[in-house]
Amino acid sequence: MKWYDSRVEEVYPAYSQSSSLPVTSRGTPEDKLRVHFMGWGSQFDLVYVRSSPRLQPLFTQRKNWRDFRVNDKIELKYNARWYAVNVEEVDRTAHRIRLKPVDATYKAIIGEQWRDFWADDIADHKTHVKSYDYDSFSNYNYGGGSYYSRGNTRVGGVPKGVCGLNNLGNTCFMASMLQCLSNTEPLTRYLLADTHLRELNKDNPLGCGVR
Amino acid sequence: MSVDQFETPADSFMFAVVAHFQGHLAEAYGQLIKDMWSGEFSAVSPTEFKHQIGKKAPQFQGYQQQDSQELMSFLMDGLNEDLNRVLRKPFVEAVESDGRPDDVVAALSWEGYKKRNDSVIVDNFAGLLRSHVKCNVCDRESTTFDPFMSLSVPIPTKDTKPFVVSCLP
Repeated sequence: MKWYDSRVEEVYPAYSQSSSLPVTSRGTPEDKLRVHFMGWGSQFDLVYVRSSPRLQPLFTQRKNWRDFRVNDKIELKYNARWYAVNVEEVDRTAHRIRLKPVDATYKAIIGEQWRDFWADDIADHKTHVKSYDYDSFSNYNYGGGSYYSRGNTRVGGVPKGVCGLNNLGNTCFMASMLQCLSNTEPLTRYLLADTHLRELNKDNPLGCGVR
Repeated sequence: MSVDQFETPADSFMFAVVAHFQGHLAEAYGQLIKDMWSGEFSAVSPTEFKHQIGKKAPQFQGYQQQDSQELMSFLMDGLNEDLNRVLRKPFVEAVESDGRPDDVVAALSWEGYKKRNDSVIVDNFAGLLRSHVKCNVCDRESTTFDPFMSLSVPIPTKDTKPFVVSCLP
């Protein structure tokens, strides 16, 4: 289970609710809260009762990632897409940070952006953007393996064996089977050592006659 | 898929004609595994693999939903043939139990199987399934050990299940 930065948008007091009041263990009705997840659209807002254990004070479950330092890596939402960005400058008087994309190819799109410390369109790293290797930016392809792409998605720095399989057209049955077999160690080890190349039957031996 | 011809008189034998696909399936599968374990890609397209398995079994050529277990059987069979260390399969007689103990019959069955099938697939996936039949009329018993590459087993479920009924008076 993941913890997300969020904010109470609206309170629905218990006695203003018409029906199906949530009830505490003591039998009294509870206030309901509409909670907005920061950096996510309003369509993801959820309603919780005030005493829900899923609501905890901010940064008690995760470290305070909004305590910015230069060279922190975070994420920025720009034109409905999330990008990995680097904190270039922290301006404590104006309460804001200057951001630049980690991948140089996005500099032309995003350029440099200033954001308030509490902006809704920034997020902790690894919230929206798939994990990637900070040290090898050049071939990074965000959102790779899109439904219609046929190629391989090269990102570098991916844990070995942790690799998706693109759907070629109703090939889920094949992908699931391949993932199981890929993680069957003896066979995979045999193939990674190129042993199969030594044992390959390339020739087509024909039968000898019957005596 | 191997094509075996072994109609033989008792004291002669014929080498089986073993049809291979020049090892393309094993190469394609091997390359796919190497890509998946390279750490270079977050996702790959198994197009070449699908192409090769389609050559072996035409039902996998198109883009319809198919059965995973059926695909795996074809793949296992294909890899076993492509990577078979036995290049010419000798004829092997079926092993009858003839009242001998199970371990003897099993060992002989396995020995016979290995004379024709010896590959990394057999090393890791093949086994023997014991089949025992007894005639109701003459009481003759027969035990055979048949090779398998995959075994279907049931998922255990509880014997009883609670359910709620509504009774109308």
